[in-house]
Amino acid sequence: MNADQILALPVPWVEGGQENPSDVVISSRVRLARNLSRFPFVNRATPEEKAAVLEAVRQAIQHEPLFRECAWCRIGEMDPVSKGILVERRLMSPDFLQGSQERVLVLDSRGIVSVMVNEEDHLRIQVLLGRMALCEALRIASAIDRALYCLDFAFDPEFGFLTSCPTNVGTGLRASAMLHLPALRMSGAMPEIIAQSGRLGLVVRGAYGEGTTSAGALYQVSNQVTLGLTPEELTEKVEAVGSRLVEQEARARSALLNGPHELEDRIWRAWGTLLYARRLGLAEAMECLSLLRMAQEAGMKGPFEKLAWGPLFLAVQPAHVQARQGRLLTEAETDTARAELVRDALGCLR
Amino acid sequence: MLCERCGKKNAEVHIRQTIQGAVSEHHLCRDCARELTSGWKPGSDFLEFSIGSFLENLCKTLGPELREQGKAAQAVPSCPRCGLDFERFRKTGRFGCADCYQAFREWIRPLFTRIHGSETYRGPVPGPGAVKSVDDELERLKMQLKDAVSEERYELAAALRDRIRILEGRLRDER
Ligand SMILES: [Zn+2]
Ligand SMILES: [Zn+2]
Repeated sequence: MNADQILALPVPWVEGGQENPSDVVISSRVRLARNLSRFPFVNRATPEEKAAVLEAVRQAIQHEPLFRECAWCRIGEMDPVSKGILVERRLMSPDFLQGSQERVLVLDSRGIVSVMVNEEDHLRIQVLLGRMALCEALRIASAIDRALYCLDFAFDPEFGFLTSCPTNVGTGLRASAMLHLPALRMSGAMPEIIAQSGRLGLVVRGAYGEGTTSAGALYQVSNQVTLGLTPEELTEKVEAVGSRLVEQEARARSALLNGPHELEDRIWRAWGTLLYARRLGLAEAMECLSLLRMAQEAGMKGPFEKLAWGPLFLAVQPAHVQARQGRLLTEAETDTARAELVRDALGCLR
Repeated sequence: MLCERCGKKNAEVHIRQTIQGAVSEHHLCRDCARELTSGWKPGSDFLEFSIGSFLENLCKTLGPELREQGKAAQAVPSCPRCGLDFERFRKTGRFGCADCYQAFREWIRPLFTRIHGSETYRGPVPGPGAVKSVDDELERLKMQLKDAVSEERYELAAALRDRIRILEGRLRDER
C-alpha cells in the first residue's frame, strides 16, 4: 500500500462525530496479544520461524469472512511517510515500523481492525472505534480472536493466553479510551487523577507527549493488569473510569466558562494563531485545536463553530503534512507547510 | 491498587518507563520506589526514566533464594524447548516461548501477583472446536450487509437487516 491508498482509508475515530461533534471521548481501542503455540516468541524466533508465522496467519485469514476486505502490508516494503501515516492514525505502534522483513500489518478497509504480525507478540489484534465504544470494540476483537483459534494460540489453563512480556499475560487485553480533557488539565487536576487511577489498576497518561501534560489535552485511560479479571470486567472498568472523567471534565468546563473571560481570550488567541501563523509546531497546533474544540462544544459563537476538528487534527500530524507535500520535509519545512494548510482550512470558515 | 513489588502497601508512585520506544507503567509503594529507583524523591508522584529496566528489577527478586541469586537461578531448570534459562529471564523480563511458562511455573506466580494482583486467569478458553457465537454471526452479517448495500442489492440488504435485528434482540434479552 502506498501513502495515497492509506490516506483514502476511512478514519472512524476522526470522522465519527459528524452528527454530534461534542464528545469528550475521542476514541476507544481494544488490543489482544496472541502467540502461536508452535513457534518461539518473536524475540527468540529465527527469520525462518517468523516467516512461518506469517504464512500460517496468511492462510488462516485467507478464507475468513471477517478478513475479506483486508490489505496485507509488508512493513519492510513501505516508504517512511506511509508508515508514519499508519502510526498517526493509530493503526500500528511506532515500534512496529522499525525492523524486520517479517513484519506485516493486516489492515481492514473500514479502518477499524488492524493486526500487527510479528510485533512483540506474534499477533496484536487491534480494534479502533470513535467515541466511547469499548464494549463494541471488545466484541469485534473477540470475534476475530475466535476466528483465529485455528492458529492454536499459546494458552495455559492457569495463566491464560501466554505472551512474551509478563505484563500482558492472561487476557492479553489492553482496553483504552482517548479523552479530551482540557478543563481538567487547566484546573490542575491531572496529577491527582493519574495517581488515583493507579490505585484502581488503571493507567491515565498523556496520549501525545509525556507525563501529566499532554499536547492537545488528550489523555489515554487503559487497564494496567491483564490477569485475574475477565476481558469484559477489564473493559467495563476502563469504561466506568472513562465515564467518570467525562463527568468531571464537564463540571470543570462549566466552572471555567462561568469564570472570568480568560478562557474566551485564550480561545480567540488560538483562533488568531491558527489563522495567521507562518510557522506552526505540532504541539502548538494541537493546543490551539483543543481550545477551539472546547469552544465548539461549549456552544460559543464565532467562526470556529464550523471547524471540523478531526480531519484537521490528523492533517497537522507530521507524516500527514509530508504526504500532502509529496515528499520528506525537515522539521522547519513541516512547520511552514503545517501553518499554510491550517490557514487554508480556517480561511474557508471566515 | 497494591504495590506491584511488595504486594502489601498501596501503590502511590507511578512510573512510566521507556525501553527502546516501548512504554510500560509501574506502580509502587513509596518504600519500594525509594529502594528500586534512585531518581525518585518524596513528593513526586510521577517519574520517567529510560535507562535501567524496572521490570528487570522486579524479576531480579524472583527465585528460590534471594541471597545467592547466581546459584539459585541455576537451580531452576532452563526451558527445555527454547533454551531460555531463568537467569536470562530475570535479566530481560521476557519469555522465549510458551513452554517457558511451564518450566518456570512455580517461580513466576509471585511475579504475576506483583504485577497483576492475581496469578489465575479468568476469561474465554480457546479450543479448536470453539463454537461460533452469536457475536461472530452478527459481525459476519454486518459485513455482508455492507457489501449488499454497496452492490445495490437492496432485497438482500433488507433480509440481512431483519436477521441482524433478530439476533441483536436475542443478545439484549440474554444480557
Ligand atoms: Zn511496595
Ligand atoms: Zn521457552
